[in-house]
Amino acid sequence: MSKIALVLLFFCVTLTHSQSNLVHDPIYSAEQNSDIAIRARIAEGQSRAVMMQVYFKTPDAPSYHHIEMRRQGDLWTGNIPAEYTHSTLLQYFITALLNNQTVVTFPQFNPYKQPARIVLLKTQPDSRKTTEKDTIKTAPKPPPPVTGKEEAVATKELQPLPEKAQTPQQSKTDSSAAQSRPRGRESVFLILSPEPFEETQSDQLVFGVSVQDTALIDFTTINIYLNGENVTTNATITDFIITCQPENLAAGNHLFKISAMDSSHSKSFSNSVSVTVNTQLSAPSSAHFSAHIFSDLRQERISEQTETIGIGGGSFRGHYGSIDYSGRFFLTSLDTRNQQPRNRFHFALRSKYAGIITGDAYPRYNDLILWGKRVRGIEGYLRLGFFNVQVVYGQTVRAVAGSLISGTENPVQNGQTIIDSLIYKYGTHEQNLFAIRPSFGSGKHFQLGFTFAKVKDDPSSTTYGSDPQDNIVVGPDIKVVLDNSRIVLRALAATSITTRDISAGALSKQEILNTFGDVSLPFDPLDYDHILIINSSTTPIDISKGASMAYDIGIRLDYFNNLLRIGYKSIGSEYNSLANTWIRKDIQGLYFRDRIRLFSNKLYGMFSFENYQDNFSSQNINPEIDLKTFNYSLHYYPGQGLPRLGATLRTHSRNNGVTAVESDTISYGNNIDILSIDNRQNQIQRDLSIYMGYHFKLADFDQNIRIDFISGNRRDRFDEKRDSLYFSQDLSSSVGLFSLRTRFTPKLNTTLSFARNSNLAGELSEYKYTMFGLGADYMFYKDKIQAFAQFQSTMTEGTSYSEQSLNYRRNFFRIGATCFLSPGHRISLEGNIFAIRDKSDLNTIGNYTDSIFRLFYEKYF
Amino acid sequence: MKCCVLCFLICISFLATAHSRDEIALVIKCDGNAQYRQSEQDWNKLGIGKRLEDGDEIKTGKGAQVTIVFIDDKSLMKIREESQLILHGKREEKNIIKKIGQQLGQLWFKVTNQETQLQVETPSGIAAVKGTEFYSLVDDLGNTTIIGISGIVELFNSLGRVQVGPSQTGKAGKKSIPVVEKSEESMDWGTDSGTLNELEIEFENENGEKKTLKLQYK
Repeated sequence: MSKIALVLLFFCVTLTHSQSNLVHDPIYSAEQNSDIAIRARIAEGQSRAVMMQVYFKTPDAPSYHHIEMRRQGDLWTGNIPAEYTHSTLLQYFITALLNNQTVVTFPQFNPYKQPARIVLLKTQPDSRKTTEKDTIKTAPKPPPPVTGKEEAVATKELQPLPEKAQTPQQSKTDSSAAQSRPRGRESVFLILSPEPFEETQSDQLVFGVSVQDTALIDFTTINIYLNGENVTTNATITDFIITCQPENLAAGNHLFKISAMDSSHSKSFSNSVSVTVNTQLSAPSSAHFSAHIFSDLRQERISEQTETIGIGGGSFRGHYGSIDYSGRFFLTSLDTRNQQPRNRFHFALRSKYAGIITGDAYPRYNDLILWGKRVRGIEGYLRLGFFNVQVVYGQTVRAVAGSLISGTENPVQNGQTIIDSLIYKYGTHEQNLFAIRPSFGSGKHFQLGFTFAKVKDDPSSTTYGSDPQDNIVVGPDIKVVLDNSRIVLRALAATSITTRDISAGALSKQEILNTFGDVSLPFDPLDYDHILIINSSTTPIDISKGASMAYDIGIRLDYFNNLLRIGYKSIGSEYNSLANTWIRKDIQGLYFRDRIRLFSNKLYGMFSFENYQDNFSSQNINPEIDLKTFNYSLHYYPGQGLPRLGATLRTHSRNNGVTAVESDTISYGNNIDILSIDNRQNQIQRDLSIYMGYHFKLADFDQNIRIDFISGNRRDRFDEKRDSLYFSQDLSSSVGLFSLRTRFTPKLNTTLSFARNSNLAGELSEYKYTMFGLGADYMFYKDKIQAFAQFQSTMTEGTSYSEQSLNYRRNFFRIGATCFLSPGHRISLEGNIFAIRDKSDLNTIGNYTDSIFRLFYEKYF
Repeated sequence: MKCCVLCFLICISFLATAHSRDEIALVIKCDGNAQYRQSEQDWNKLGIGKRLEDGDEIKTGKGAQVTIVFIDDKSLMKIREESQLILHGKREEKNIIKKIGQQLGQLWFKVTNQETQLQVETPSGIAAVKGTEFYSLVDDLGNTTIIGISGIVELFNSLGRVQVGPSQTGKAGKKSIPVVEKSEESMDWGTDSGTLNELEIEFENENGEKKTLKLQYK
């Protein structure tokens, strides 16, 4: 078991290590007063960016500005406008929202506090002259490309920059005035809107110009051009102001220009401004409608078994007025009536005050009672401010028929041959859930809620099923939020009553008395069997004993860069909520966790402590077990150009307080044997993990290196005192990981990885394995196609507990390509081959080859 | 016939008078529910591109934010949610003398021209401004708060006057003398690029458990 856990840990680390990240060539220096082109893309994995943004500011500015990046195949590009590059230093970071609903950043850690830096170098002194002729040299480079005939004019007519460097905030408001503030003979037109190089949406764009000297121009000669096309007829011209609001401008750069002649028609005046219309500025949540569909076709050949799997799905969301609607479906060919459902679907209508969800809902009412259980049915809520209510009804388990093995003939009894039938597989009863949670208070500062949940199996829904159950859980929850959410107090409680077998129905009051002797119910259970069936399998029959109680009280404090969480919880041995079956029972204790941030979030420290008593209720003969866990971790993210470091140490002890070996006697025939019973448990497990990551340039290539070391050590404090026949519980393991990702060009990336693991279990079994991997991806055909290939070889050797040799080698090949048909639209084909060569003593299969071929398609709307 | 001509001329004169009010500002950004009206008439929806005239009254609803630019010198004014004000402007040659009657809410100003005059009149005081950046806040009781960012704002009422500089806060009540103190908390919504947007990302694991991450950005 421990070995499996270690292997899983290893693969988890490997997977974590190879997950998608944001690839960007950091820009270390750029010229002042010029646009800075930022390019980035998502590397590895199957994830795709659906939105990418660059945030930037000068070091002394209080907040960041941002621009949306545009997708060009797999590459995302964006320009930090020249108006923000007056200073000597610019800080920036990039964020990307991926289609798997995660967010990645560059720099990878703490980007807000430790952004990347660009040193802005002064332009040549002779280019700072202020004559109109030289303005062409010093003018900020306009975002490419400006379409239409006005392109040349646009470059010439851009105004010189302000002389003094400014913060982005100043420049946001000042530069537009300064840049578009006319000079000399051009001072007649002052462009009020948009800001130079502003990125905006089409419906939020107005071109506004103020006429500074109305006597100077002939209003009949005013002409307004949009990308070279005369749009004067769409403009509104009055004495002092001219406005034009073009409709449905396409995404991209656009140039507005205004021109007019003086009253004698001997001179001309003009001014212009460039603007970028970006349709992606709308966040998905504010879009009227968005949708996503995908299909995934796989052919898997594992252990000589070939299976074709089809998966398809989609989602959509939008809003109509104040009502949001959304839907999601996931269909797979693996869904079968003989198992629990794998398909998922739901449709939801939500508003601020009320909402309804049909299909698969995942209500969360109270951590102890109902928290994320899938319910196929209907869920609704009503939020009226002080009074709110949530309710859900539906099926949690599908009825699945059990199966029998028949045919074992017994000897003839009373002249008949009896055929025994054995249940080969137990079926499941259909299970339905109803829950309601009225609450008082909005939850912003205070909320008091009461949850009632009833879950019941339908005994008639299947044959050969396990025991059908009936369960009711009730409990309150309270939340108090103080000091601007810096203090959050939370308390939950619940009590349950469960009948573990309702197949025989309810007992009468007298039958209960006869069964339990000292239990006299104040009502007759037969009268209330539609609410809960009470019989001899009901626990607790006497609620006053408290074993079916659960509670959890905690406080969270957020002060002085410390996030402190402390609480106490107790879950009784008989507490049972079928609406939350994952909860650990018969345990109580204290938990404490503190996370501290220091040095502008460069240093994170975390300490946590848990002390639980398992089996505290002593309902059985097993002793109480004391569980203590300490966690210490320290992570250092010094910033760009420096390695990041981290270390975590976890110690977990388990002690049941038993110090002596018990003995018992067994007699068989005339012989008596003494049986030794060793129930002593006193173990300590220490897990240490250290890592270092470093992003640097070498030979002009972007390098990303990561080194991990993980070790686990379990010691049994009674190991040396135990009987020699007792299997040792000691275990030690260590894993070393190394990976290097190199970006040779924006189109070519390679990954080199190496791992070594060794395990020693009880000095009997020693097991080692080594992994070497190499991968590459390459973008070609106008960045429309990305081809990728990967090779990984894993070799193992060692001995098992039974001292048989283990010798195993796995070679993994992956090759494929993704074609980006258009933004948000791609198709991918890949093949995976696993060649296994097993020379272990235990191997009975021999060498074999598994394969997975996959065709994936998706489109966003 | 003469009567008809006279009536026609009167109507023309009236219409001419009605449209002779100075255009003083332009709405360049408008998020959320904002309305305007002229001379106690019905409220109308305010939108991007609306030209504002002398005497226009503006009010903003919850979550709204409006940015307007004055057409003479490109001075900016941002109006935050749940605010109400009247715009007054009088053209003098190339400049417009601006008087903002702030009844309620929060305003941010970036006055770019040192030569033009801008005053914010509140129920409890007057803030006189030349070439500066500041916030003006008026609460339900009519109390005025001026937060200086750059330059000097003179805050006065019938009981006295103070000068509010950068990182200083001036306060005035209807019956209290204006005072100035060091700003305890700075504001920055005026220089933000836009209103707060919210991006909801819904996470769902294999068990179908869902969590929604709300990213707020500007």
